[in-house]
Amino acid sequence: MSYDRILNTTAAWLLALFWLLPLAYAIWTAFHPAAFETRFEPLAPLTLQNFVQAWSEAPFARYFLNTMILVTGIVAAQFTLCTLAAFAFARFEFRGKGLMFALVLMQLLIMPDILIVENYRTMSQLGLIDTIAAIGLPYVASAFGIFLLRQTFMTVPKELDDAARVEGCSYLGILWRVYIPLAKPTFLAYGLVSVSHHWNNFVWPLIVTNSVETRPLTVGLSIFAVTDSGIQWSVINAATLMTSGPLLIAFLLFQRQFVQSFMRAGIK
Amino acid sequence: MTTGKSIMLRGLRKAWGETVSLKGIDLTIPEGKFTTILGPSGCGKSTTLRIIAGLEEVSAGTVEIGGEDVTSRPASGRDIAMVFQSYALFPHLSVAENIIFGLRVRRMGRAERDAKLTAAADMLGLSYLLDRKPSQLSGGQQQRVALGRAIVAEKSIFLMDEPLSNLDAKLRAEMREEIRDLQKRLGVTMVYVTHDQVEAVTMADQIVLMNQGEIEQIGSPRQIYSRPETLFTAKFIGTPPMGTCSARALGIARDDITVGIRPEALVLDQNGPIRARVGHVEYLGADAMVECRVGDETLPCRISGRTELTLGATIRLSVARDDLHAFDSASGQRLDTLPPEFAALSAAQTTAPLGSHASSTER
Ligand SMILES: Nc1ncnc2c1ncn2[C@@H]1O[C@H](COP(=O)(O)OP(=O)(O)OP(=O)(O)O)[C@@H](O)[C@H]1O
Ligand SMILES: [Mg+2]
Repeated sequence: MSYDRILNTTAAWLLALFWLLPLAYAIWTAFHPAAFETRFEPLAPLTLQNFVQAWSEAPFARYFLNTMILVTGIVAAQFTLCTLAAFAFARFEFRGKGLMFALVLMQLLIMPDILIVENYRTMSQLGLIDTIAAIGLPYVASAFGIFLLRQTFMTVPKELDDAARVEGCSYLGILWRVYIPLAKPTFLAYGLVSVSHHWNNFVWPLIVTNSVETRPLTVGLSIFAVTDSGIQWSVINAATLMTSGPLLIAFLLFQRQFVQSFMRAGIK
Repeated sequence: MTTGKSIMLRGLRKAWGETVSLKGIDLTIPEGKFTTILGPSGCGKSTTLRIIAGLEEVSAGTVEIGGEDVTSRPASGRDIAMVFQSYALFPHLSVAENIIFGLRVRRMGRAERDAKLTAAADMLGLSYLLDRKPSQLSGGQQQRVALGRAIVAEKSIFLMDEPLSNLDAKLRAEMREEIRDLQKRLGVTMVYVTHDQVEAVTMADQIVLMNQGEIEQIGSPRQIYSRPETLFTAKFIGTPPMGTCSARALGIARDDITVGIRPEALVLDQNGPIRARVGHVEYLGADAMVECRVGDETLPCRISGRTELTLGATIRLSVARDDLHAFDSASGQRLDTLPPEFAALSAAQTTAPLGSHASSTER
């Protein structure tokens, strides 16, 4: 093995270790009594008590539900909207197409956080403050999604489109039977990015929500961590694991497909 | 069983902004016949076919199919099936699903669909491949799947755009026959685009020769070969193509005429009226191609491979009157009757022409 390779491998392992350290600490404290928060004894007794306590001290069930609704809603809306927009940009000629696409690209360059105040104003004008819809709405017309799907749709050979048309497909039929199946890896990759982003999104939901019925997990967790339990790390970490757990497990389960999808979708 | 429908194009024009790719096409394609559209690259063959299919809109003119004006009808309402150059198989669907794609779109019942699939697969020898994906097939097999999709659609007209250009020579010859058979068996009207004249000549009942967005000539392969109406046709059809030279090079005092003679029509003849010098000789086995220099121009001549000619030797050649083609130099149009000056060229013919084997060199 060359010197270069050794250096690379070592660096990769170190990075992975640093990345894992907080997670390892969270797991350690969550599964041990509070007394072992800073004492790392291999034989310390294991317990699930922290999880039970966290679950009972805050409405995590409701937060889970909210997050699920939020994430599935956003992804469904993004898929619909971005697919249709991308199809139009990829395969139709219409006036103002260039300008509109430039606007979409511009959205890619703008940090969403800059728009928080403006978005808040819009949501309050729509009367949507403190609803799950308000958390998702600003993200539905995703420039990233439109751009990504457009690029993928453009790689579909024109002759496939023609063949489907000769066989009697309508435009939506062609989209459904030809473009979407061929763009599956892109949908999977984009879906994953979107789910994890919105599962973990914090600042915006914190601002537009203020009740148990609408709050997603991230906000619920922060409120729980600040007010209720003082600095009981074991319980907070149990709650943290609980909230990020499903995503983590899903990723580990589908890891291989996800990585392949990313490769095929050209995101690296 | 389907029966073909006729196609009629009237005053068809197509322009993309500044580029005009069809400059007024009038064409009748008879029902149940095999018509090839032939021409050099970029002459507008595909555009014509795509307009017939309804995949491209016309700039002017009308398209009639089976006597009905279909100019503004979508592709699916025109009673056509199409085979594309790249086969256009859906990569995410199995062979079976590719073949019945259109039937699914039309929501045909399962039993009927399966029956049609089985029949088409048997006809094309695809039965054992039905579960594969297109990427797991050879080029020839993919081509058959594309044909299968056209067959199960049971349309009156088959449109094919260079369907064999991605196959190797041997397979191409096989598929040529297969497609020809298929057209006869189904009785459909076939419109077949190609830039390969061998394909056009061997398969077609009628050839439509196009050049730069216009039709040069329409006729049977025999007509087009034996009586080219324009210089372009004369030079495009035939391998090697017809040789041409000015009338003056053959000793005829006309400046406005270009003469065309096919290489095989030019024969060595001791008493022939055409004097030429032997240029480069290309030996091909059974025969040889000789560049005959007449004046400062060249006429190709096909002779028997056994004849030996020396470079620079003077030879005499003759040509039958029917094999002389005269064209107006300026317009490229064929002259219906040979001008009287040409009598001298074929006069010597009566004096027993020698077989082309015999050498007739004189030094
Ligand atoms: N979508 C298009 N936009 C602009 N010009 C086009 C378009 N499609 C074709 N053309 C032009 O029209 C002309 C005819 O094209 P067409 O594809 O019909 O040629 P072709 O005879 O099929 O040639 P080939 O043998 O190379 O396939 C060409 O000059 C081409 O550049
Ligand atoms: Mg073409």
